[in-house]
Amino acid sequence: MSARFAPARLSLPQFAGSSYWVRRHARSLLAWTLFALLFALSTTLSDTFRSPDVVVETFKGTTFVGMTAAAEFFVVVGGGIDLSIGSVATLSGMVAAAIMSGRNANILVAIMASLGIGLIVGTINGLLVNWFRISPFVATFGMLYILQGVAYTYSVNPIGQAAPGFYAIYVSTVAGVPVLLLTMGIFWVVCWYVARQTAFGKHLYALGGDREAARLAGVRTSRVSFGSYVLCAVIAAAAGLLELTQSYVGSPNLGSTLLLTTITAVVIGGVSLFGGQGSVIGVLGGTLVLGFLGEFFVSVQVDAFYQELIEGLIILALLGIYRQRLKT
Amino acid sequence: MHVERALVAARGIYKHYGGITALAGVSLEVLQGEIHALVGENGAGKSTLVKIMTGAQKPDSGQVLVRGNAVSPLTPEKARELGIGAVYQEPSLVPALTVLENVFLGWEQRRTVGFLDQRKMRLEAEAALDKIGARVRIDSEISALSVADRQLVEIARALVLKASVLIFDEPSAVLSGRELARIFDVIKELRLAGLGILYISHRLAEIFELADRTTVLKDGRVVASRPVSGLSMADLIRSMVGRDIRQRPARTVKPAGEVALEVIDLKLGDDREPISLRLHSREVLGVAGLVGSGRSRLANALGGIRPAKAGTILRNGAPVQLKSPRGAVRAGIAVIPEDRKREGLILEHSVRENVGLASLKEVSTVGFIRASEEKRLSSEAVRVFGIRPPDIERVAWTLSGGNQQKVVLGKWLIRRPAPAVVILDEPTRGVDVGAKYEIYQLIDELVERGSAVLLISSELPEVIAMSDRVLVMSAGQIVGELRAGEFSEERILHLAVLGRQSGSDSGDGLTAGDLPEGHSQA
Repeated sequence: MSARFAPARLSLPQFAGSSYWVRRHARSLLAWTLFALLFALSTTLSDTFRSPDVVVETFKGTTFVGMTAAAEFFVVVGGGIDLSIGSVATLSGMVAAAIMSGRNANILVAIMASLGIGLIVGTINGLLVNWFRISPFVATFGMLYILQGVAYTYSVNPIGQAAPGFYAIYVSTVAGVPVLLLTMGIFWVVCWYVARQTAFGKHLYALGGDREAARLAGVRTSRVSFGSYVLCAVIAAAAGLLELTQSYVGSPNLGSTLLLTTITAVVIGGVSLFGGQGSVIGVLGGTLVLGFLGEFFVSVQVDAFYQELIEGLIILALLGIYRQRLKT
Repeated sequence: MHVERALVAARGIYKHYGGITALAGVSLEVLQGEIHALVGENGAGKSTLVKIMTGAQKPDSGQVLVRGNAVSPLTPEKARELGIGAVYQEPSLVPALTVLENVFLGWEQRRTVGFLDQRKMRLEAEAALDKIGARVRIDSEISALSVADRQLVEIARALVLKASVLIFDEPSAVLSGRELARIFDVIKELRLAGLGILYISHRLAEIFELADRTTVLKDGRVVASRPVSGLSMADLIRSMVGRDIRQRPARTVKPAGEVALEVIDLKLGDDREPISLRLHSREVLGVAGLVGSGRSRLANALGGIRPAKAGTILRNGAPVQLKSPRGAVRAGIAVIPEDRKREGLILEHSVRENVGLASLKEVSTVGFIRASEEKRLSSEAVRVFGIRPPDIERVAWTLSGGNQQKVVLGKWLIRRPAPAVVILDEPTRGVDVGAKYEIYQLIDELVERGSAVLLISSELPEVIAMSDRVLVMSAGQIVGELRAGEFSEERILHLAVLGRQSGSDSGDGLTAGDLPEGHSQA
């Protein structure tokens, strides 16, 4: 009887049957395959892309959307949606820039303030959705406009100035590796851990997969959902800080296109917008696909308009594939 | 009553949904080391009782006692802590999570804050799965498992949670043959291990195979509770049936000779036997059978909602294609679905709009809806069908269940010409008694105007009172046809419960076609 569990004790249970492993991770594998393809294509077709510097810069360029996509992932996998991430990042960046005003001494206060914004917005979103029972789409859509309004009231023009000690994150390296990418590496590992290895993460999947089943299993559904909105908004605020290391000033226009890009990355990464399906690894893959697609188009000089067209086609093709898989 | 020995007991449970009484003072207890079967017809209140005993729903009054102590309120978490586990018909597992994750869902073992004790959980889950002989990979996602394996995972979850009482909600409705036998073996072993089992079913043969004691629920009341030994199948059936239905005047019209709808070798699924039937004009053909016997599937096939895999359908002798609801409507077939909220009504629209939708062609000129005509038609529907309140501008969801059903019926029946074939799937489910009789009257009117009616219903008294002929379905097949004067609740139940194949393995040798004297009363 116990023999059949032998593979499990090797602690790499997923590899017990490789075809099963492929099936189970098909959604994230697809994004990564696409990324590998894109990467190979870019380095073959474009001379500039063969320079390691360009590749590193491209990776750095994906970090901002990567963070907002990870933030969105937590809400979406739990069966919700947060449309306010872009405006949270915007406001967070503006406030941080204004507080820093180029002085290193203010960095800590600025970080606290912007994460505080995330915390407050996430709490309000979570309350609206779980206590006032407003649909997530409507609640966070309202929040999007409120925050955007606050941002424009605050300042119509870019304001503040990032402190040198702060934007150093973007440019400095440790043993040849950019600090930014190191930080992001840690960030993604933590996200993966939270999603897959903690009770909160498992409850979130359960919630998105079947809310009633989760409730009957004793999951405190409202609390878990609330947590996902807070986590999402805090990460989105952190993404606003990250963007500041690159742009130096807090712009009120930052978030305008961010929302769609973020959701695109999440969808390409194989996360079901109905919840319960998808993985952090997949979202990272989706982010990289999107980031490298842009660079690829630039390097082979494709018109910006075609970029959007091709992005749209990729999304539709992937959704078609995911849907096929659901049927079988 | 052995309340003091009972692992879990329900005491005087009442539960109402809207105007409908689901449970009216039900008491029941599950003892250590016994398999207690809870039986009853569809809608007798079995599932509601299960939900209350597992804390998923709260009773209006009455209490649940665990080892003699009243627990109030009983929540799902509380029930689980106290050792009450449940295996639902549709297993309440999360498809996207693995077996291991589901077994410990809501119950994750932690080492320190945030860190899960994967090793401990894995070992415990393996032990539980081993114990019941479940051959499932612990890292498989639930979505990859069969229904039987999912039920085993649910049992394993209950064992891991150290459940002392396990409630099975009609596993036989979703399992069959070998799979069911496996679950039975597991259940018997759990009894040996000293657990108390509450087994819900409407298949009587199982009860004789499995249970020590049985409680019969009818219309939300306990009508019998006794040991299975010494009980005969006939006793059990007699206690389940016998509801009163108010005497109604017989219809004046008789079924005509011509066949309005003929179904030949209709395949409803790959593993289903083909179905054939004939429906005459001015006839009400009742279709009885238990939940899951394939009745609604038949209705959906005839309405083009879920087209059949193969087979021929003749309308007035000419073959018709029923590939879409539109095709069915064009063929003169109106289906009034069971799930009226999802399939029968646009809840956000007014009564007028809903009625108008079914007769768009009649109320519009070159694509423009004639408001006056729509108003006239819907006012007529409200008047004829007694929809209350009599306001055509009322939004559908604000109406009571019975009145919603009247709108659904009304929108089809008010059409001119009236649909030649009307298929009614559970027309009186969730409807209060008064509205029920009005719906019966509508059916009579329909027949008098020449329509043929296929009446699918779980309420045997209704089928008997309304039908000219009754077909009994079981496991996706038509297992018997009873003519007027031949049918009684007991005969129908015998056919529905025993079906074709399981007739021989029942305790007292009753088979579908071979009823003992005294039970074939006409």
